[in-house]
Amino acid sequence: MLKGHLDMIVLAALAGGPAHGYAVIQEIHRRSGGAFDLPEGTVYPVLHRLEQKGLLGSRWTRAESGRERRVYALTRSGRRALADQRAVWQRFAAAIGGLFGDAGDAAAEPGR
Amino acid sequence: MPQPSPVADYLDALTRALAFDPALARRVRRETADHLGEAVERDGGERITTEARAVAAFGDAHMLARRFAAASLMAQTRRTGAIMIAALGGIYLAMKGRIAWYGIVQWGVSDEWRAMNTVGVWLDRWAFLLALAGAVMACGYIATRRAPPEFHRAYGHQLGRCVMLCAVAAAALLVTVAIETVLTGCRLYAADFSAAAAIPALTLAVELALTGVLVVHIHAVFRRARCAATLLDK
Repeated sequence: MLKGHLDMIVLAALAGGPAHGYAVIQEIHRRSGGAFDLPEGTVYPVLHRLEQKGLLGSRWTRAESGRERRVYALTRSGRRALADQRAVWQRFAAAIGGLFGDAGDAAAEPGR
Repeated sequence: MPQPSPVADYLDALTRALAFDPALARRVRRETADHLGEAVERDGGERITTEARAVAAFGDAHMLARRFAAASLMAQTRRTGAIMIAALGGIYLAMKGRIAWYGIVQWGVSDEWRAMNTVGVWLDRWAFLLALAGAVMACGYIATRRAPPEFHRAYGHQLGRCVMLCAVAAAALLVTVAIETVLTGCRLYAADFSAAAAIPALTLAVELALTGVLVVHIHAVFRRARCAATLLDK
């Protein structure tokens, strides 16, 4: 299930500002409360794909350690795509919540 | 004796797995080296153990390569489709330019070559139309494909079909350019080479160069797709 939403998850992790791959995976881990325990490398094909789609921009920088690092940031299209996906997800979550709520009510009142 | 380094070994394995796209392999290697370096630094334990832990957390190199392959090969196939359209457009303009030049300099076909020229032009036209039809089909097929999250066998077959359609169009284009070369050569031979021959020679060179670029690109996509397909056996 997570596989189909990786693009949205990565876009959401970059909503706070530019970050490199390691920081993106840490942010996903932190904000999901450790629920998304992905192999760390899986974030890179997603970052590259989103960059090809024009949803992310990237550039090489030099870290304090002296290592070269690629930093990714949302483009304008990326922000728009994230807002769209967030709206779709919220509608979907509300609909599922409604269904589960009804199911919960029915379970609580079996005679109804 | 050099110390073993799980990170260095992993980077080599990942680079080998990404051999289907050397530029991508170089970039991913640099990014992965930074990621694993950061993970090792933050862990702060004994070096070989922390490196092994960082590599294990990063994921299998072949699985990652399959994920990169899907988007990379689609981008290359789309680029080849665009080059094919550009080549067809360029060759068409070169042909029209040459014909217009023959009109300007009143350069007719000698009686000696007239029969061969008639057959050649007929073949040339049909070969070009076949190339155009092949290119339209190839571009339509490429445009309706979507790169999956991970390279798999069925996707490999789809890419194979893209390459095959491009190859059919390129083969027809090669026939066109070969006929053009013969017909132009006959005209230049009959005209005893003059300064006016520079334009036909130049347009022919453009056609040959465009066809060459297209063939090289199709061959590169074919080679890369075949290289990526080996990832499925690992």
